[in-house]
Amino acid sequence: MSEQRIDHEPVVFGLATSAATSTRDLVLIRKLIVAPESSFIKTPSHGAKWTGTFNIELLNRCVEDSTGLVILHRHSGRNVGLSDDDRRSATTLIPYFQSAVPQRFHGSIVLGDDSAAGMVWSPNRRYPTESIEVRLLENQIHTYTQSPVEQDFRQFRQIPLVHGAVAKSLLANTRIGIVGLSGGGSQLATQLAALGFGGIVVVDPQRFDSDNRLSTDAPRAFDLALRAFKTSVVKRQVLTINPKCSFRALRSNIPSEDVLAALRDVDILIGCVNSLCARADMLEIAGRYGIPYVDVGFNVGVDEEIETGPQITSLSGNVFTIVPGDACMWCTGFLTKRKLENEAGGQDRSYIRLKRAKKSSREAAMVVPFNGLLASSAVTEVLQLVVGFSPKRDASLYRKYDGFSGEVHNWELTRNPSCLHCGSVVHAGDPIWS
Amino acid sequence: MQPHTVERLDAELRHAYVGATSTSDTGRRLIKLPAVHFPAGCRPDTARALVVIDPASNMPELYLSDVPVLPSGIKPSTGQVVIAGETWNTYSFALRNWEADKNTGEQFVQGKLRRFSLAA
Repeated sequence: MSEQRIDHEPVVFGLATSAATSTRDLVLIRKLIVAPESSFIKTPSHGAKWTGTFNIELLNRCVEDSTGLVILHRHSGRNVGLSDDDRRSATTLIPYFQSAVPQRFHGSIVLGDDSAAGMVWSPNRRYPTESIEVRLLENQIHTYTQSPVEQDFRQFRQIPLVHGAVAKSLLANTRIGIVGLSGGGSQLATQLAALGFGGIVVVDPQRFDSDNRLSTDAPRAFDLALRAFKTSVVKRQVLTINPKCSFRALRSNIPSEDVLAALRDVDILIGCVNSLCARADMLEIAGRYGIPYVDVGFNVGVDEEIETGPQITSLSGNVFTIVPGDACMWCTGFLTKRKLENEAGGQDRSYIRLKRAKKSSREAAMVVPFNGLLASSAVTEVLQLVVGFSPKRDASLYRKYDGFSGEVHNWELTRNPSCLHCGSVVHAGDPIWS
Repeated sequence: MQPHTVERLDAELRHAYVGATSTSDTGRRLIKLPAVHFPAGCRPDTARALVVIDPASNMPELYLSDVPVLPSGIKPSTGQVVIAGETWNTYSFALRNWEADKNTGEQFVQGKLRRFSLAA
């Protein structure tokens, strides 16, 4: 089959929801519509023009789905800008979509090699803003800004791990959320600080004490003696390594209100929790607001029933990277309704607390090195998302660790086309209430 | 639950609670009530409420912005969930004698709030 020649600028149409955070507004593209060639009108210039009929189709879709319209096209090269034609077209067309769906953002954006420019109209605002940043979520977060870093660009493209100007800028402008500071969470926070990540938000209500000292290398002896909050200990470590890091601590549980508000603002979310219900809540937040989520888990299986005494039956861990739009925990069966119900003991899942279980051999296990290995693996996942050092890997990835053999395997993931989370929650943004 | 039942319950709640708003999210109908009132002596005495109607279920769910302390001083056991990006509180109380086809949305809410009339 031969490729059809296109005589106009390629353009796609995004149906977008939106959400507000404390620092920015998010416009989340849920669907991309590629117009059939029959919708385009031949013009002498290379710019794209499409029929009024197609405009009406788009308008109807936006109204039905309560979404905004974002027109996306591409110019080659760096430091791109909207042409006069682009501006004229946007200022003529967008007001119609604004009046049809006034509660959503609408706009027109041009993408270059690593830059973006555009006009975006906020709900009920007459004039657009041109202060935008565009992110594309694949096996790496591709960030398109208005002023891309010039220095070291070529070097970064060839060797993404080199700590040059581009990588430093990307890391310094990335905020990471870490929920759970017990085993893996506290260990990965220091690695992220060492790499130069600009913002770290940590969530954990607990204190270090003799019961949890064997899961991490974070606390000093006086931290244990004073039963210091985990957030305080990690803050001290992070700011000692990187005083420029913006650090925020929340001594709350997920899904409390302050935690939800803070996590909306992060660029990557890492979960180091010990319940499936907490994972389900974090996946909901991450999916809804378009945030890649890295889940870290480690479990020591102990058989307490053996006559000769408790025995370790398994040492298993995982690092699960979920990029919104690719396979998720629900697609893969990592999370199921039945598992959540079992964990909640037949009650509504909201009753799950981080209860202290009856003391068992599991809690006395020396798991620092296993947590450290998983923490480092999670940090490599974060690094991959930001600088993309491994171009050939999949977006979502499940990495399984066997503590007995020391082996780590990547398991292949397949997105489930009927997954409710992927179909309805991902990029849902804030709903419109009326 | 049939689609027309969902619409009816939505309309009834919006009529009964002035200022109520609703939306559809992940296949469910969510109705936000600006204020529901707890029995005398509860602290606080009002809270915002969220009614979630899932077409796959015969019974809606009720969530509260705050779960009150009872006049006896006891606070019922509660949990928290994320719904449409917001945090809501839930509590355990099985509502009997309410059927979607026979009863109203307001009867559902008032029935669920009877939990706070109990002594403990």
